[in-house]
Amino acid sequence: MPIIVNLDVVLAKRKMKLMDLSLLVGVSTVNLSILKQGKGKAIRFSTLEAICKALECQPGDILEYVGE
Amino acid sequence: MRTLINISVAIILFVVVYFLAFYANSQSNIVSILLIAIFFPLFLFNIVVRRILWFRPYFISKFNLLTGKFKIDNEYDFGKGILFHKIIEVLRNSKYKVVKYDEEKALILATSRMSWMSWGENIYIKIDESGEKVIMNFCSTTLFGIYSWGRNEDNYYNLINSFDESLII
Repeated sequence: MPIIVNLDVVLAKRKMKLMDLSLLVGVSTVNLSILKQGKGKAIRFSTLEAICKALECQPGDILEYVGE
Repeated sequence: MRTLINISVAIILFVVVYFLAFYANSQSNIVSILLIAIFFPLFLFNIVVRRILWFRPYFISKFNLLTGKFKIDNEYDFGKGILFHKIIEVLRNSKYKVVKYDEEKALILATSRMSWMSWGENIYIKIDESGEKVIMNFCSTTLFGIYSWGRNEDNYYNLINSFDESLII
């Protein structure tokens, strides 16, 4: 898929664990793991907003388009 | 097609029950008593053991002719642990009740709700690894009845639909 999820990179920069993000965002760890691996089908704006708020970043920091 | 199969099964059942009732009347209730003596304890046994994960082989065995089964395998490219927890989450958020699970053996036992038409089906899910792929073995069985009237298949399609929807995070 040409959209890459860089959640693990942003998490590492913030020195935050997935479980901590899960508590802040209100999304289960399993779902965040799936999102992190790029195996999710889609992401809701509300989830993206919550993640950006928790990690103090922009949507572009989490999602990246890479041409094939 | 399914409706046609259901109608055919209903006709066959009606004929079988009619002849059994006819035969039972002519044999001064001995046949009825024998049938009840055999099937009622089996039914009670199935009710008692349905919530025990250890009895999975008994319910899903092809030699158990008293339970209708629907088995199917699906491949996923998630990790085994993630898929296991995801399925439990999906089951909990849908109309099924997670009765027991064993994380070591990657086994899940869930039941569908009882209704006036059904005692609820047992749903056994086992997660296996095969090379890089992770396989979900799904089996839905009736509690007591050789034909599920399509409910086993419905359980599978409901679970798959809920699973797909849950991937919108």
